Amino acid sequence: MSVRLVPLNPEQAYTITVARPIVLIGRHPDCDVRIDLPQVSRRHCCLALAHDQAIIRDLGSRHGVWLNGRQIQEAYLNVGDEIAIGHLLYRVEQVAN
Amino acid sequence: MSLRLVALDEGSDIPIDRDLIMVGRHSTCDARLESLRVSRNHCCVVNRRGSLEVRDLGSTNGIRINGRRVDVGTLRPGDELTVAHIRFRLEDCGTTNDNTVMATISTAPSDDLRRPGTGDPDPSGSELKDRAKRGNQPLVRADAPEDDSPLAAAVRGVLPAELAGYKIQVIVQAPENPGALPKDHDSKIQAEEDKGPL
Repeated sequence: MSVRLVPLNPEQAYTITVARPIVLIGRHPDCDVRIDLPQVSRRHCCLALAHDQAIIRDLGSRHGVWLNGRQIQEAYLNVGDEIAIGHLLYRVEQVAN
Repeated sequence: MSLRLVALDEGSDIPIDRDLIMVGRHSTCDARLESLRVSRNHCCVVNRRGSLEVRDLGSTNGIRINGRRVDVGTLRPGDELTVAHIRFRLEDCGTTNDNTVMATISTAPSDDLRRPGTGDPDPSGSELKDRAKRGNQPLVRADAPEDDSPLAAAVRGVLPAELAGYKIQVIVQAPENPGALPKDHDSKIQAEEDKGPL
């Protein structure tokens, strides 16, 4: 399942599409998706596509990764889940192949 | 399909038993490498049906695939991954049972093994390697079937002569319950397997 993270507040952030097997998200310029906000760690989390499942994993970030209101280290994503990266909220949506 | 990153230098293998494996020195990593040259979050590995996708996480000493430094790359069975200075080779351990590990010894059993009671019956792996360097001729019993693998031939060497015609199949199996290892001789092999990172 290919997914994207759609921001709940589109003025704050861009949509994140998981277009490759591993997407690194953070404030550092080397990240695949760069979010230049102080609440986002340099390497905050990564999204991975394994088999048909999308996984999110915290990389030891300061403000953490939250799934449906609970802080998580690693979680499989389902359509409709709400993800918080730092203070940014996203909704998980399916991408039609 | 059961993939495994086999350690070519020091340290343990990394079994690919999860979809996403973090490799690094930090305690939260799935595969911990205790070397100061390895970064805390060094790289992550994603299982992609028969191949692995690897990504460097901004490590100081980087990752290499088949000797070439990369940020992102794909590993297929036979490819070599270097994490800082620690080398691994991706191997496909087969499809039958995730707990079963096939071990192939590339050398032959020693003379001691062929004649029970005439010396050390349990030579270490390094001794076997030394013998392999000196000469790789198969030291099987004259009455052993020709299709014996070197491992089966080694076992045949310690069996009584009456069993010479028996077919030998060697299975090296990791324990299903690592906490409760039996204390018999066979468990030595299992204990070796149990030293894995997870």
